Amino acid sequence: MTFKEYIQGRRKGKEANRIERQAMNDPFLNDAIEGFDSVEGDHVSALERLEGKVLRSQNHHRRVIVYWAMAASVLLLIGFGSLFLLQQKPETRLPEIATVLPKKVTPSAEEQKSAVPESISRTTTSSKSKTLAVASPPVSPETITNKAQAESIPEPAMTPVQSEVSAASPVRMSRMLEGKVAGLQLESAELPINRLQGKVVDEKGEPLIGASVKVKGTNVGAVTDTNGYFQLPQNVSDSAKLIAGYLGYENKEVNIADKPVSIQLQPDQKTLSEVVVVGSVPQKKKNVVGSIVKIASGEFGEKEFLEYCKNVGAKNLCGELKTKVKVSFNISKEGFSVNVTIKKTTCMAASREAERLLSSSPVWSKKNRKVTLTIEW
Amino acid sequence: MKIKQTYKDWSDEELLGQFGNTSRQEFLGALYARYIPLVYGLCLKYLRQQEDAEDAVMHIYEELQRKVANFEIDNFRTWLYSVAKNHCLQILRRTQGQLFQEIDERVMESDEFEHLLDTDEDIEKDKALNYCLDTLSVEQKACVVHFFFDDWSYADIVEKTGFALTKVKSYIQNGKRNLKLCMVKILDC
Repeated sequence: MTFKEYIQGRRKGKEANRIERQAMNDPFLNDAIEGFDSVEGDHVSALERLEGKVLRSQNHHRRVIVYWAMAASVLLLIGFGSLFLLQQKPETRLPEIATVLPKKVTPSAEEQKSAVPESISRTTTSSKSKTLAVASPPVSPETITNKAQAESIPEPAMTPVQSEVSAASPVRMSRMLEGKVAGLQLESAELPINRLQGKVVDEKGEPLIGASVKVKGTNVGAVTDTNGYFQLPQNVSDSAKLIAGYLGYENKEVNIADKPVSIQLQPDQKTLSEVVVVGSVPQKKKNVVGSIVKIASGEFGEKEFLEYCKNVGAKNLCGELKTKVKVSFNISKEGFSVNVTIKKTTCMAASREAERLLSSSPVWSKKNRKVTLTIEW
Repeated sequence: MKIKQTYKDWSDEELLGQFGNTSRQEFLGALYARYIPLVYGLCLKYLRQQEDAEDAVMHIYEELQRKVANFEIDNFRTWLYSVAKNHCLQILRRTQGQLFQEIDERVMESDEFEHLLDTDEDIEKDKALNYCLDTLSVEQKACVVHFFFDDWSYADIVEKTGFALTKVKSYIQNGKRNLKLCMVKILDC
């Protein structure tokens, strides 16, 4: 019986028992059976569907190529499309930069603007004075057109410098319209046009993506986009300072007043030193190969040394005999044992071990003296 | 389905090797098709939805195509088991945010257990087995005997004893464990 037949519901007899017993040893099979048993449904036809898909999959190669070709052509289209868009961008970008300026016109310009009807405020984003005239009719035909003309609107074709003026003019106009417009929806104070925009670039003028820009002394800040541009989420005063930073570059402070805000960062010359991570794990005594001797803090004298020998000294070196060595030595001014002489010993191995113990022991606390000792371990 | 017949006599390793050499999908397809019932069942167990399980089976197949070349696979079956299981667990982690701790207590102990039941010409063992079987509860004893000695399937036992399937399974599982503990204790002493 195959596993598939088992799934189908033929679950009787020795063969079924064989599969079930096999499942006890085989987590894969066991999980699968549990799965089939726990979920109701037509599992057999699902299996056939899946098998068909997998076994037919070698044809996918050719189909995949077709899909790739389709994807590529779509990409091309998007590419050309965005090229056109990009070419138009400079034109549309100018007024945006210009809109940063209107604040200079009057300190209360912001309040004024909140009173600007939607249709007019929208025209502030356009540098073409023509649209001003077009947009105004729904408001109040006569007064506005008159006053708009009185404002001496610049020529339709404008240079970037002139756009500063034109961007400012709607604001002034709105002041005159104040109180005279009724029944129109008011734009909220959240006009994006007044938020500070700028760009962060590296030493070569390449845009820095994800650089942080912060208004000094506040927690107002922004992060640059894929083209290096940022826009602050709030309006900030002209006297504020911006701090831009990027990993591996030195932070830089600039005045907001220097427009357009373009911040060039220099690479940080200080290189980071490597970081060494040290981990420690407590060890169980039984897992440690070798010996661990706990030294009473501070003192190490004759008594401690005898204890040390008992703990560390190799046992049964001289067969039946006790390992006993009489030794004399000097303790240097650094606390090490020097000039070791073995006076008496039970066997050669014991004297070698005694020398080893002396040379490996902790530093003696009382220095500059002569010691004669009988060690036993 | 023709492919399935063509490679019927090939071993997993041969198919895997051919796929490695030629990168032709039909070899991997033929190999994977063998395990679809197991993988699908596994996905059902974790994902609990037919559609999700079917998707997962196909995703795992795509994953294999990428992974096979990068791994040295000694045993395709066990490797596939871990790949498939991890795939399902990852889906669960994504959708549910947290994972239930899986308690897998039946870790390959059964081989050893079946060895204990093999009492040919071993009087000591035979005695121990008979003694220990009597220490089990009536239901556990009946189910263990039917399953391991009479070679009845779960369904057979359900039919003939009238116990529910889940009960039968747990009687066998627990009976097995108790029996093993008891026998090991006796034979070691």
